[in-house]
Amino acid sequence: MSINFEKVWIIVPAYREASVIGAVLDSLAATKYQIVVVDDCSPDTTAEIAERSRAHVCRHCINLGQGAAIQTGIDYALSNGAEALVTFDADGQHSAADIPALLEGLDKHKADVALGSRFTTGGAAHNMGGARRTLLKLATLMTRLSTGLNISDTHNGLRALRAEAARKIRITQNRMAHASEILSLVAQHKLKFVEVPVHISYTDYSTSKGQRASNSFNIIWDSITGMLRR
Amino acid sequence: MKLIQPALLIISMLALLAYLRFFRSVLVDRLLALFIFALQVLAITFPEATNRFAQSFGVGRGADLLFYLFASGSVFVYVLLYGKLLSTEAKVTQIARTLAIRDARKGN
Ligand SMILES: Nc1nc2c(ncn2[C@@H]2O[C@H](COP(=O)(O)OP(=O)(O)OP(=O)(O)O)[C@@H](O)[C@H]2O)c(=O)[nH]1
Ligand SMILES: [Mg+2]
Repeated sequence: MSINFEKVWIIVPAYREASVIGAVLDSLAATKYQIVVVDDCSPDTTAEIAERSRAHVCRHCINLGQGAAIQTGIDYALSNGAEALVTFDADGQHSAADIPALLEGLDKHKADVALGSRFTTGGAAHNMGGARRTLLKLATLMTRLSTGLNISDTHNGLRALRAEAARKIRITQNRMAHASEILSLVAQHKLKFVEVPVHISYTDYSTSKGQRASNSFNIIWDSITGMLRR
Repeated sequence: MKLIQPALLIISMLALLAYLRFFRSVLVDRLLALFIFALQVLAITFPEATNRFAQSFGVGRGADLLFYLFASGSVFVYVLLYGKLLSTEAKVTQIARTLAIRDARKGN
């Protein structure tokens, strides 16, 4: 069963990305896929710029975080007949050219989930700092231990899911702990996954706006207290 | 009588009145509040009695025993409130999500 590209939805969570989201959406608009931008109550013109592209735009009326925005995008895409969903950052770090390989990963291996990896052979992280590399490797180690999944890059926001898999994955981690939450749900539901090499670029913009290392503590805290809810 | 005693009595009294006036609660809770108030009055008027009570638990002073109970009780309250916070956050998220999807706009 091969995937109908017109029923592939790209989910773009965005917060304060006015200076780059126009270019990101231009690169996505050149494809056949459907696009939904979830603006998380950005104080800048992120949403207005997104509305100038052919993307669908959902706006949170309060800032909830990237995890919450992705779940909103998943709900929207599923209710619009999505067959496959791709999560894609708005900050210019992901490349639209990697999407076909992710979808092919779903198709060829009959996988439920295709996970982008910058650390597997063929993947790359352009201009990534050494400290970020170390931190990501540590986070990968921790998530491998907690989920039991053999994955080389657990905190990669570029991934593809089949609709049936997306229905099983309900993100309750509103902020950044959703990345490992998704993987524990993959493990819990015994979803079949493949890793696909992808290219992540680090620019001065993405680095200055991206996550600070100190946020790791918040992520760990959210993950632990998240267990209170289950 | 030390100055602190009437001051504490007034505070306890106000707390009780505020509770009865502003918190809608079941009869058991109101009776419990009255009972706690009675204990407060006793402890404030006869401080030595609380010391003897504490010493029967191996704690030096009544004030220390109260402090230990307060400290362990507040951990409990903290966990309860945090759970409440998490579930409120989940509800707020669902509202914002429903609105965002309902009002979605399609660009050109
Ligand atoms: N909806 C929403 N999206 C956010 C929020 N914070 C960040 N994002 C988006 O999530 C994506 C990734 O955010 P980053 O902060 O760069 O996180 P990251 O890419 O995992 O980490 P870095 O390696 O530091 O770049 C971008 O598209 C952001 O616009 C937020 O509070 N709400
Ligand atoms: Mg980023």
